[in-house]
Amino acid sequence: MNMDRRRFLNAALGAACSIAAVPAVTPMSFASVPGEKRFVAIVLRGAMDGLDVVQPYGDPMLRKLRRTISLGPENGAIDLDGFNALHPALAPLMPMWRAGELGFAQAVSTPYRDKRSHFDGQDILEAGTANGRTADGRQADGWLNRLLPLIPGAAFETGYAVGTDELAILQGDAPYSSWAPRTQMSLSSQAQILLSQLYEPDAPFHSAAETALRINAEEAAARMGRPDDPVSGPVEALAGFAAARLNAETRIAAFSLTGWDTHRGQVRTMVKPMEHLATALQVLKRDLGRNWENTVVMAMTEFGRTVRENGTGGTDHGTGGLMVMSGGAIRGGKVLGAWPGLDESDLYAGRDLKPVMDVRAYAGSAIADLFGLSNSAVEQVIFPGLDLKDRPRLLL
Amino acid sequence: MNYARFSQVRFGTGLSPRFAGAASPEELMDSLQNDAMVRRFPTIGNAEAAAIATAYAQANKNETKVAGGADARKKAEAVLMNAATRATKARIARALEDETGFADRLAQFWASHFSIRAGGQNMAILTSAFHEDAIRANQRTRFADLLRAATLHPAMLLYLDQNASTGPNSPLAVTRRRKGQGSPGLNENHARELLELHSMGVGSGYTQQDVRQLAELMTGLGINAKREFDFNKNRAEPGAETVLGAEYGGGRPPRLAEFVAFLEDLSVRPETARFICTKLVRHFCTDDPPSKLLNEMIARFRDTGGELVPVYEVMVGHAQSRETFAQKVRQPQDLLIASLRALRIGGDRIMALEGKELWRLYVRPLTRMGQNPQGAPQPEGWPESAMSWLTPQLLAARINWAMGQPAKLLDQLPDPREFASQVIAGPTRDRVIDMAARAESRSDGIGIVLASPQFNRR
Repeated sequence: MNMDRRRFLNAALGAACSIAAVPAVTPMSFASVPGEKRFVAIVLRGAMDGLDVVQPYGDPMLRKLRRTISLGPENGAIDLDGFNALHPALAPLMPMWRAGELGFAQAVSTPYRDKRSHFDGQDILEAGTANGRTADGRQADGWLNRLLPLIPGAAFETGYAVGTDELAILQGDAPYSSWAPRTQMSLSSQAQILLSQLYEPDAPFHSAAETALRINAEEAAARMGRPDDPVSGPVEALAGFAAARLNAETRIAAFSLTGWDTHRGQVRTMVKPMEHLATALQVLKRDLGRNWENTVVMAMTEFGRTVRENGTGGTDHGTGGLMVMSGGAIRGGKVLGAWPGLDESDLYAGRDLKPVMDVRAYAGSAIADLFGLSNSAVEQVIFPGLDLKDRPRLLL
Repeated sequence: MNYARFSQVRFGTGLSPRFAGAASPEELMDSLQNDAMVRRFPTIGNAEAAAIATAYAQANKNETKVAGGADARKKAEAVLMNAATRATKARIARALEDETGFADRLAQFWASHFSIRAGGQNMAILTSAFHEDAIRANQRTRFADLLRAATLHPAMLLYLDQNASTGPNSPLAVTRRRKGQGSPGLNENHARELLELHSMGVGSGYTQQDVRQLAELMTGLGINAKREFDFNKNRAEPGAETVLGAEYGGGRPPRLAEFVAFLEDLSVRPETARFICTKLVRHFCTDDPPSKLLNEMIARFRDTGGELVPVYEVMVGHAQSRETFAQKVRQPQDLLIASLRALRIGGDRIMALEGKELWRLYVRPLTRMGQNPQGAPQPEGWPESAMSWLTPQLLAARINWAMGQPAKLLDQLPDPREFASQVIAGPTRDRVIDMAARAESRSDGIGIVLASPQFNRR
């Protein structure tokens, strides 16, 4: 790990604490851009039902286990490969699938088992360790935070947490940036001038306010530049902001999409979150432009859901789930992962899809190839305890 | 700046035209003994919380098993959420109505020192009880009493996985192994945090062996099905343990008193005295504690066997507390309470808020400013350094609250110049008055005062 750089950055941060420190540290001070590759992590909170997103209709058991949901191509799902079909709400993503820019990994999981708590499951997914803790029992940093120091030339804006949700996946000692798009500081210009004068002699306030006002002005200008753009929703804002940062200094961005906890009426409740996911991927592709070619997007959830539909037309917390990958840098157009089957004896604990691959193996393989890291760096620093020996190759 | 204005900002919940504050350190210490607001705005205690949490867990289990189960679950959830919301509102109301708010600030400090996070409904209600019966009820006693109350509280035992720890040679583990039902074992989490975060501090000389031995000594601490504290002999590791060079436990049968004896010793160790006093100074005064103040507090801690009130007394009356004024950035919780107090919002108004209104006014803004009211994301508690609270995004959330919320709370906003002179303390107050006077509207003027570095520092 590049400890010198980290110490330097921390020292710079420390200096900004002292009122006497001038000039204020700005993110641009360290802008030696670290390569062209980009990684976007989307945390799907609430446990996405992978069997409804990518429906394995080729397994006859699916129809027996689910009565109102996941009804396959006969009910509008789009055939992908003769065995799996995509939920109709994701139809807008079919051009990406055909272009090889969209792929899936079925029956994946973190090492988390049996308790099926959202909080614990997300902690472990974002920490990237076997139990959410480090070897000596502490709560672990986010795995994207551990990745930052391994990227040569990384600076404050290399890692970017987007949105108002806490993103434990990026939290930790390595510095990173964060902003919630549409924070929309609605300040009159006079109020802005007066506040700036008050902040001016106080270095930490001054530095943070200048950056906030700059990003805010950039966002406002971007909105002005698209006067005919229909009023876009919060997901467009998240993905659009992430893309704008990735087009500038950022190389690793993370945001979360919620609404996946579909215990009831899944026919209806699953549509909105899937539309959000489709929108996020489309906006990323649109706004990243040429940089899309150098981008990998991975959308991950804390665990899957029960294979059986429950008594209220939904599904409950399960184990094996689905990872969605996208981007111009991936070798898509495939549903990866050996199919574990849906027969009673195939299931985990008699109720859940049996995981066949650690979700971290896919993520670890992608970031190793994307950023030129050795297997051992991934196995020791980013995902301690993971074995990448037979890792899947995901990139072009 | 007289002592009342200084102490309201530094040690209390902020200046308000409604309160005169404490004119001297003695008055401030006296205010700590006044429980009028605790009685006026009751929260929730251990017994009530345990009953609500247990009822909710039962309803959850029955949801799909009994007729009407879904409705019963909804009802139990509503009871739980109402109680948790009421507790949150009562804590705000106390801080708004107390003459000084010193006790409320101390409760915030200790809640962060013994940090737990309310993930999930059950934890939310137990956390409310933790704040009341473990923290607030024990912050004027010996540190040993506070340490014991926090360590043995069901919310803490759950949060740090102590409830899942079993002695590898305990009767329970032996039976399970014999029956082929797995091999339950130790979980070191709570033992480690007890030494590292709650008492001696990281790098203060204990070893991995101490952590391991302590984890063994702690087996048996847990909760029962009613979510009450329970010492389960069945899970306790037999035999004595050596922690920090002294031997504890080994009784037949094992007793809770053996662990409590360890806590007593731990609470008065010199490393503990130093760690606790350093944290107090870092929270209330400055990130870089001046040695004179720190050493006098440590000496008082050690002379009194860890009595907390005399330690606070040294801090609030010390010249170095005065000299370091405005070196701390108000944490979001502190900032919002101080803003509401400055705007003369009263406790009854808060208690009357609907859950949604509370969310808009307090919960969501706090989260956006980086201080989720459910608790810090890590057992380390909230960070102290100014930079952790002043990222561009977090500062933008402060500015947005200041510029937007006051007009939604009050039909008529005060004159910004007068407001600034009432609620800002310190030598640069006139600068804030000057800028507030030049704002183009009342609401901008009030916003500039509340977003100023002067109001955001203490």
